[in-house]
Amino acid sequence: MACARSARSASGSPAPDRTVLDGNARIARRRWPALLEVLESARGLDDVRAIDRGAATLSIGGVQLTSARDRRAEARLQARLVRAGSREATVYGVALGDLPRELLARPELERLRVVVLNAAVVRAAWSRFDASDWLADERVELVHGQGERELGRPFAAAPAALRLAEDACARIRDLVAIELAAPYVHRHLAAREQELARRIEENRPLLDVDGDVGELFGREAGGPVVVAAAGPTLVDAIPDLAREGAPPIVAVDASLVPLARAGIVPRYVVTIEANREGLLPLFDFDARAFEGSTLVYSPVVPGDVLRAWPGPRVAAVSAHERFAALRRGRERAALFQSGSVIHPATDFAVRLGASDVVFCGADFGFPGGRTHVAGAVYDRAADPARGGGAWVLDGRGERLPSLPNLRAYLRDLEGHIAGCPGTAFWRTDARGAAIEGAPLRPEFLRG
Amino acid sequence: MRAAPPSRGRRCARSSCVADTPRSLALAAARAFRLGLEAQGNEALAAFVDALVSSGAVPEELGGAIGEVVEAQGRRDWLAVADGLEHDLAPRL
Repeated sequence: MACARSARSASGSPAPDRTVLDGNARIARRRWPALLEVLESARGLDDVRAIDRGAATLSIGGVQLTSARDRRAEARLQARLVRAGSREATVYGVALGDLPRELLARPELERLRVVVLNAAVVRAAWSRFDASDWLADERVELVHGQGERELGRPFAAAPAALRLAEDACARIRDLVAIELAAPYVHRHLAAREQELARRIEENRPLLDVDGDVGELFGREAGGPVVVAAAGPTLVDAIPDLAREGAPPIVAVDASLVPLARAGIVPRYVVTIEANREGLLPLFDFDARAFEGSTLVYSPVVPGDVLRAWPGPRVAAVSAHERFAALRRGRERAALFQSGSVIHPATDFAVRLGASDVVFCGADFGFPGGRTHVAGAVYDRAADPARGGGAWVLDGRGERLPSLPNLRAYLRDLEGHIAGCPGTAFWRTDARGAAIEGAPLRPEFLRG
Repeated sequence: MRAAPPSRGRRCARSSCVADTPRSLALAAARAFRLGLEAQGNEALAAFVDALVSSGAVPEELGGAIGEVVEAQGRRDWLAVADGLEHDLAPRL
């Protein structure tokens, strides 16, 4: 069913127009009354400007909702993310409705889920631009992003809506952003595959004699295990981690120096870093006290770092095809990996049989304006410009400056936690990122 | 090489042409930003700037448009960046 498009949907009104808003709201009230209540209660926006350089649009907080030159061409381009012939699709972000209109013009489309990422932005748009044509289309389901747990596929997105997403929609915004960035990330990772394959071959002599991580599974069954990451808030957990009777620690490599300085010897250390120059400083400390600590390592880790480790070593592959030959040669357990050492460290803690996995220093952002825990090799003042404005919500519900890759690591960790229903997850500091599935429990380590 | 029309985001017929000229790089960056591909867009934008500088003196008449794109980039106003690249710069390159 082709959508009629009123002049008001294209040209809009430079100032809020009650008639336009009422017309849009009338349809929304009939079809989605609960969502309309959310839209009507949204706080008004201060910085909303009408722009028209050939196509009328809005700038909100200095961000254009759509092209100001050719909205329809832009929507046609964005709609190509949804393969022709698709019967269902999802649109993330409403903007001015051009993208839903473009998809609804496809007669084969039976269902279109449109996800609101910022109620206030939608209200500002509906106050000026007629959306009644696509709102009235029976194929449309309009929902708020706060309730969206998984990515709908196929999907297309309004980029400005992602940029302007409200706090409650941070998670689904991140899932969309991760998916959009995936081809770019894979392209850059693929460029390193030859180098990694060489490294694995270089490490063959070690891999042939070292143990496999699977041999350790179940070793800590029934008790809590701490995963010590290297975020700034780790520093406040150190006194509890240092006391007698503290749970065993699975430490990521970047946390080793500050832990060692505090006299804390983790039972296990996890490293997956292939970059030699970046890795060497993390192991630059007096490791004699670590003779009893087991190093869990990826086969891509530089061999000289592995050989220098004073304690036992076990290799841990992942499901990635680069390890396929290793898995064929010998039975090997695979740990979950998705870009950050926190992922295999967490999976390892679960596979150890932990009843509870307790995150310390898993901040996924820059609490206190620092990048790492005090004393960590790479600790420095966070550069606000570097993250491009990326943020996550901390345990207090406030925006925590972050980086796009840290956000992605957080969401992938949450996805993994959701797949481990037999394990309880906790975190100990509200200043770090809120981790879905790992409630705040600061007192956990205090016994 | 079939050049992309200035008002469309259609890709060049040859995959290699995307990296060849400032114009094609500007259009590639605009396309990426309109699709929400921020990292890819900024990568193409950086390549566009390099190609523009490498091609010789930047025409004075582009100064204003380049300034607007830089301002929009500073605001992370990616669709304004895309508009500037596709509609103000690319047609004049």
